[in-house]
Amino acid sequence: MRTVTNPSFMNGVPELLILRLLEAQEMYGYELVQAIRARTNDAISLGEGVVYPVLHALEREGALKSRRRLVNGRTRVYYAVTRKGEKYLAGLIRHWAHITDAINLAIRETSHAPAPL
Amino acid sequence: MPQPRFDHLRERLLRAGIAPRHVSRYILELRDHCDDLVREEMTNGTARGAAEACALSRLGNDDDLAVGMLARPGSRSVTARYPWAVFGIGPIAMLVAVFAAVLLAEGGALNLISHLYKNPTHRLPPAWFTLTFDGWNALPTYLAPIAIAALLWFMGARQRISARWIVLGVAVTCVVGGFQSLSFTENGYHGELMFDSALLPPFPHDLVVAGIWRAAANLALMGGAFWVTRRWQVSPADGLVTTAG
Repeated sequence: MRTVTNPSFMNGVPELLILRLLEAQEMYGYELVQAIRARTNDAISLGEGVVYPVLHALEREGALKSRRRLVNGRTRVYYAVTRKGEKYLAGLIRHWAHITDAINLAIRETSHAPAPL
Repeated sequence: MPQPRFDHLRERLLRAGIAPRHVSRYILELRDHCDDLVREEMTNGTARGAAEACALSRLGNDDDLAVGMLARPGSRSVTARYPWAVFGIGPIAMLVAVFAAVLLAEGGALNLISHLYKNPTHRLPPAWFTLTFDGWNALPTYLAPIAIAALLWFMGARQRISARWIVLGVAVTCVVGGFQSLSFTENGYHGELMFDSALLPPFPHDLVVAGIWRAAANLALMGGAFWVTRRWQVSPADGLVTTAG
């Protein structure tokens, strides 16, 4: 199911997805966006160009490093996670696990609550 | 490839104060991404026109693309964040740096020459020697203010900084730079390397008059260049006249 995502509720999600995917292998922007779509079953729908400001910000913060590579006659900017990025990702995952646990708890409690008379 | 759309985005980001290097890289990556999307759509059997439209739609609309960049303050240039520092204090700092560098280099060269050549007969140095140092001293006195003013103008125009800041920077450079001078004299017994500022006490009359002339010449030169640029300007986006603050 394709979802229109509430931007304020997406804070930190693009960073988490990007770092998670780049942790496994370095990728360039287009490749990364296709990977996000594939890994989330299109559940998270963003303008594909929006990924670049996030990549640049993560690079400025030292969480990512980039390098240019010539592939099939075209220069690609490949991104990879740094040590700092790995630590940042671990923090983001803990944060999101905490939030999803809390939301799941709230959903379970709501579904088990007695119906109002 | 739909280049004009990205030109518009580039202009919007620059006017919002995003550093040109960030804008250039963003646009480059968006173009590549758009190209990949067009290829992907065409591989799936979509006609070129429809593939381009689809690619643009998948990339995101102009607002999304701009907001993604504008939402991150780290992308803003120092010039956009602190124009008062770059165009108000920057010219004076650059002039001081240029004069200090030239003085240090010249002083070092003269010390080395006097160390190697003792001049026991106290003869006057040859004309080429004095001319060489006069030429060297002319660089900071005459060329540095113009070069610094041109640099500030280029930086400001490239980053779409408000024209009033650029005018301030250019004017400060032309005027302050005009009142500084370096000179070298040598009479066979000793040499003098002099830095003079007509803006500092005791305001020697001849230096003040020379400074006024140099400042006026600097302003006239930069004003003339500004006028010529305005005449040649094709669109407001290409030159000095800007709206961003």
